[in-house]
Amino acid sequence: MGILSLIIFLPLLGALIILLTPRKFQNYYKHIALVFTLGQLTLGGWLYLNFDQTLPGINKLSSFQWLEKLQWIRLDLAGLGQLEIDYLIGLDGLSMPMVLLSILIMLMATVSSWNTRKSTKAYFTLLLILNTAVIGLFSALDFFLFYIFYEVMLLPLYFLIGIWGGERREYAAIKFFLYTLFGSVFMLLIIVGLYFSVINPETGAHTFNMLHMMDPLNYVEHSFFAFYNNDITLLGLPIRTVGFLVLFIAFAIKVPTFPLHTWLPDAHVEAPTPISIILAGILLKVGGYGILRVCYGIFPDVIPQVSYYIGLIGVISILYGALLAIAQTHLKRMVAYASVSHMGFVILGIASVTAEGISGAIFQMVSHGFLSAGLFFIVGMISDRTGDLNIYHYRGLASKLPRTAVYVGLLFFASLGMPGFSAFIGEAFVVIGSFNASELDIDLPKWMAAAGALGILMSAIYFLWTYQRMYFGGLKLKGGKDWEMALTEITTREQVVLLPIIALALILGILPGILLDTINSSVSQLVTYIFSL
Amino acid sequence: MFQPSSAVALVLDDILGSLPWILPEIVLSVTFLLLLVISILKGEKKKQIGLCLSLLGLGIAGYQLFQQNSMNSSELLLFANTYKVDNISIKYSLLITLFTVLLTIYAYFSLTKEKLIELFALLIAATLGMYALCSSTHWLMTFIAIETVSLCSYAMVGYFSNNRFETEAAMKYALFGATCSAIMLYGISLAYAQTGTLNFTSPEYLMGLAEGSNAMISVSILFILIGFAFKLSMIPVHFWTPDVYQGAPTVVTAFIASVPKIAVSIMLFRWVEANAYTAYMYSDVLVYSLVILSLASMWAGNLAALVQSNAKRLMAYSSIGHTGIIIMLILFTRDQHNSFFYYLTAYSIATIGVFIAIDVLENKTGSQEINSYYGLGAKLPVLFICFTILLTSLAGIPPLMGFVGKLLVFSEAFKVYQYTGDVSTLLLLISGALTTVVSLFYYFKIPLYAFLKQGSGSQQISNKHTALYTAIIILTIFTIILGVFPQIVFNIYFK
Repeated sequence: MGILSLIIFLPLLGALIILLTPRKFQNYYKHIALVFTLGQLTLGGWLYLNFDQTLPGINKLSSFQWLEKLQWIRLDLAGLGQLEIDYLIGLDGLSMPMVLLSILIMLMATVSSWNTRKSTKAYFTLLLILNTAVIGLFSALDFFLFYIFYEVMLLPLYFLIGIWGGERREYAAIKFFLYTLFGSVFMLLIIVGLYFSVINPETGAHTFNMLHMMDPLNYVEHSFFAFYNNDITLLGLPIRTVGFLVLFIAFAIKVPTFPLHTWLPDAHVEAPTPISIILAGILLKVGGYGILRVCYGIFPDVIPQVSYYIGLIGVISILYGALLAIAQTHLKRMVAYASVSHMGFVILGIASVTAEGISGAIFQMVSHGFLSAGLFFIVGMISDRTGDLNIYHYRGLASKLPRTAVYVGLLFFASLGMPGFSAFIGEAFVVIGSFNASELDIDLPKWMAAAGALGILMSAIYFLWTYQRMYFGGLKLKGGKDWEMALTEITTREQVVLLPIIALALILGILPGILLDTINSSVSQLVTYIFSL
Repeated sequence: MFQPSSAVALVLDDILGSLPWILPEIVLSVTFLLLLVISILKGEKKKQIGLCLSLLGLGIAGYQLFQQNSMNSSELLLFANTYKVDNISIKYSLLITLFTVLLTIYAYFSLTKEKLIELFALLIAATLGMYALCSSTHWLMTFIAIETVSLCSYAMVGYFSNNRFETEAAMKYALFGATCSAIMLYGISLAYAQTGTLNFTSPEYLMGLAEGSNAMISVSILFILIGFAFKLSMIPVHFWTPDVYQGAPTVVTAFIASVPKIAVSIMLFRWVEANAYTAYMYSDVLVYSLVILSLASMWAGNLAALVQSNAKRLMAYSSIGHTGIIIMLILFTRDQHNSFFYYLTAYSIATIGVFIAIDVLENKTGSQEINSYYGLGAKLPVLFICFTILLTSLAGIPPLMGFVGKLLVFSEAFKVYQYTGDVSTLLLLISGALTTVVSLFYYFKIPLYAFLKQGSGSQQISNKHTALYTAIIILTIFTIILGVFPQIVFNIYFK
């Protein structure tokens, strides 16, 4: 068992220990969860420090790092040939940042769960199972394994939202579940189709190995998804385009992009703070990562036909999400729609198929990962104290809570794409990439880049306006004296969570190379690979 | 020169030569008779003796099957080509035996009545019928076998009925079943009129179908299908299903929902395998009728399940939905049987587990209504976690057995689609995927009530662990382990 497997399954071990610990020690469940997540962070940090940035990964198995391969399922199906499913995991520049980000966010979620009282045993067990699924998903290189982790994520989240959520939690939980499942059952059909179209060149057996799916030569001639000379159509579209679109829709639901985003505000509003943090910090990134790894990796030939529409969806998400965020009076909804808008940049960057754009997209994912986690943490701080999140019910908070106001202000500025903070780098790279795309014969008009830039401006509107409404002016609270008592200054534990986030945003904003160097070779490999076909 | 004696001798030879191959059936017949004898005797320990005898009978039958399995490699046609002992019949008979053993033990712990011994006898008789279903190549044998299973099922449902609803369910079941059997028999007679033989695998039969009148043959095929549709509770002859599932004792429901489905679907598979792949019209009639039945069952079953509030009725519609998938397997399984085997195993394990859970809960709360599970998740965490996992497996979500089963079904269908490019196959695939999403919605009603809604706390629920509790946990563990390592099932299948 390699170190990567250890990182994946360490939380599962923690979950088992929590399950077996008797209920009279229930105050220690959170400590167990924290210890295991910290252990994971140590290992993850070690991986990041020892990560060889020159190895590209993407479609070359040998250049993946911490590669582990175990034969998992071998079935001899006479008619179906040999069924070959491997436990195949490894990291490249695309997945390494995601793994580290996930561990960090999980740590934050654990810390912010500190005050959870309701059935802590189940809560921390589910949290740790979710942790395993997420890290496994980012490491999986076998499509079957990927899919299993993808689906295993759903159940813990359903219960975490559904049991520990707000008033309309049942509705939000099932909506989230059904949306995601809708995308993924069709993904399953495509996986089956790909399985029959691709063979492992070494054994001649059909395979779920994603890297084999990336090599046109491994496709069986005249098979369903055959790479060359494929004239199968479905509903008037070439079958490979259909495959791309189905996978894209599955991941676009996760991102989420317009018009598949409606589950997000509901889920966020009803979810408890730690789960909002995980949703915004990790789950949305699963979508972006999936598009890059799976859609782009397996169907690169389709990209030229669809880049315009993907870019369009990205732009609409940016602008529409921003407009919706401006219109919200509920703080958590505002942050949720801001997420839609910010994730639109990821889609736009991906659509540009340039090294700048894709790097920007990944950068934006990481940056948005911890910034949105921070934003939801702030929202959670307010709702813990008063239980009310209507923006208009607060005024002049800065005079009462000066130190909190500094933290909130810093986070808001970082999130709106202020130069010097990480979000700026991500968004700027995306805009540059989408501006350059048309020069490289990518069907992405320049006005989309301009619209993206407009999106940055709009994010300034909603963040600053919200800040102004809630923190400036004379102190006026809807709850009167009670609220004034309840609204206490930021605690040390809360500072411990927020400080690293702001520090990270600053460090990555000033020294983006820390992250860009890691993803660079993988991104250029991906772009080269796409253009070589 | 015609010599009557030698013809008789040939027949006798055939029968005598066939006998060693039906040892499992003979063992079960003897067990059945012994159980009947015991049931009229008086005694304290009747229940225990009945259980031991049933298990012994099933065990010996299973052992015989196991012996056949290890020595037999080719297929054998017995009793003038009416009874086929081959890999498929042996494997599925073994599976049926296994689940019947499970159900017998379950019945012992679930029902406390004196009448239990009759239930054991009926289970054995039904198993006998199911063995025959797995082996039949002849309409007469098929009809007798189906009737054996059906009559036992009617009796099981009716025998324990305590109130009006249960009697109504039994009556409905018997009347509806009798009508469908009659229609099936009529269909068989029409087929006989056209072909002159009842052996549906024989060349004469196929020839007769090819040369006969199209209208008549289509009618005959549809009529025969109705018999199967009734047993597998396909739409549109599913009306009995919810009532019977609800009205019958839960252990009987668990039986009806699982084991007979295995046997009848194998029987249907044998027919489809023999008749569906010719270029003549009757093949098209058979295949497309099944496609329509499958689509209807998947959609109507899953959609109707959405509005159910009774757990057993919900499971009834869920089983109708699963029938749709089983028809896909029947249509798309060619030569290799492991996907079929795996799916049926996964489905049966989860279904039996769910019904045991419903049973345990009914004993605790006195209700089968889903809203009576309100807030029970916190009081009976282990039970409801297992319950949820079993339901998730039925919905087909990884890493559980149900998911691998569904993946294999899709694979089989896709493989066929790749060669034929038939739109109906694609339609089935898409429906199978979409109804999965629909199904999740109603399966998750149960954890929704148990975990998500907060209980009042007034209800007093004993958290006593019973033998059934253990059974649920074991079935759940199987669902997970066989889901993560499906090769275990395949290795068993190939041994």
